[in-house]
Amino acid sequence: MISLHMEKTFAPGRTGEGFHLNVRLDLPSGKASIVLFGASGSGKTLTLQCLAGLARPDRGRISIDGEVLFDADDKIHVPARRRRIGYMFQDYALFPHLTVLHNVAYGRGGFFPWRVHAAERRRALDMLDRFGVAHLARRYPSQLSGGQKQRVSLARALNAAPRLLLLDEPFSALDPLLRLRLRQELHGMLADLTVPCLIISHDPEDVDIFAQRLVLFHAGSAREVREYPSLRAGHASTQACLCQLLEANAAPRLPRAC
Amino acid sequence: MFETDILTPLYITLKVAAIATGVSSVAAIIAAWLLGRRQGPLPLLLDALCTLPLVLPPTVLGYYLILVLGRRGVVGQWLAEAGVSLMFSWQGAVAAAAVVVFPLIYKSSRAALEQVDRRYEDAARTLGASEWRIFLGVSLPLAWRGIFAGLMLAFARGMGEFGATLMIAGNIPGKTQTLALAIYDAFQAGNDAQATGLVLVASVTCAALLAGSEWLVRRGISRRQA
Repeated sequence: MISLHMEKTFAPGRTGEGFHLNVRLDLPSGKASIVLFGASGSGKTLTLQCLAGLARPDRGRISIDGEVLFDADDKIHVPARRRRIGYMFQDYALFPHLTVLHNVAYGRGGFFPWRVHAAERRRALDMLDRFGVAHLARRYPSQLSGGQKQRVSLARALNAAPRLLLLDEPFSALDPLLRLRLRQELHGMLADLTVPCLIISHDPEDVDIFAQRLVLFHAGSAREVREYPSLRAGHASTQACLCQLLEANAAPRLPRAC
Repeated sequence: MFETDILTPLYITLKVAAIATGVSSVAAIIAAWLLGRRQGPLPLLLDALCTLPLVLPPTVLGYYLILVLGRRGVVGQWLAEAGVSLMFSWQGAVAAAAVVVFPLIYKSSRAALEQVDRRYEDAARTLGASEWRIFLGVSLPLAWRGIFAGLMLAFARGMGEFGATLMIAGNIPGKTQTLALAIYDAFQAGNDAQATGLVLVASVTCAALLAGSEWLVRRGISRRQA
């Protein structure tokens, strides 16, 4: 069970209005992939950052399978490096000064990332091979295409043996044509994994392919948690299905296009 | 005679500037890293303290250094018991230059480290890396161009150090007399030929240093993008 009960407030600054995140979520940590869906600025990314330990909530408690990762009252804040939660960033965040191989080996490496043990080298190459990019091992991230970067970044996250994988907008850094193909590809790759996945998206197409469970975010809180296949079954299209869900939660602020 | 009189100050200058830059860089880069990610009144105060040598007259720094390192100074007394005296020695010149160049390395390192995308550091954290490993393996290599530029600037500034060095290490030919001091000396003594020679040597050395560092930076970039 992934349990997120937390609040975080950002005071209104000179440039933007304030933001209040208030999430109460209990998700089964089974293999089924979960999609966090909602408009930009609804608090999806911040929620994942709190879960991964990259941001710290003001109040509340976060636990996975009973293991407490954060508790404001007990002053527990397990650092990100000890949480074993993989994170795939929006633009993949591959280390630009390291080769593909050294990027993938980083999560298990010694002190200096460019010195990799023979056994770890083999392990990293095996991982790259699983995603069909072992031939790119000596390249630098700047020499890769968008799709190749995505595979390498997935290999890097998995090589650190996480218990949970978080994917933040996995396709937003790609052009639309590539997005279509890679969505299928990533779906295939994730289906072979034994690690549960949490995926952030504001794209209905992503929901349709990846969601087994759907969490709807709006204005800083998780409004609904639904079994996606049964929810989708009652509607003619993905769009219609998601629109109805959104309207039920936040009619006044939605654009008409929906 | 003429040859040795130019080469000795040059050698002392390079030795002092190199060691001072080396010593100062370790402290300055770590200070930049530590202070760059902390907020509050204390880090603000420490930041001002780290930058102070940049704006204070070198003679003021020299005076402070004498208070600390002099024979009756806080650290000086302790050093004297161990049989070491920094006053009027080339090591004293190193101490003076190290303090003077510290802010140059600190400021440029801090700016360079702050420009590193936080996402790379966050990615490293989720991959299980400790903060030290992230600093040495990710932040530092990604910021090295800015830090390197700061080091070169510091080295050049260290070569030209005059005021604080004069107060601590004095102006002893063959021992603590650096190029800057030797030029002043020669000029005061009316030895214009000697002064001109020293000025030329100082100018050529500094120009070569700056051109060389620029070349190194460019080579580094083209190699990564190849």
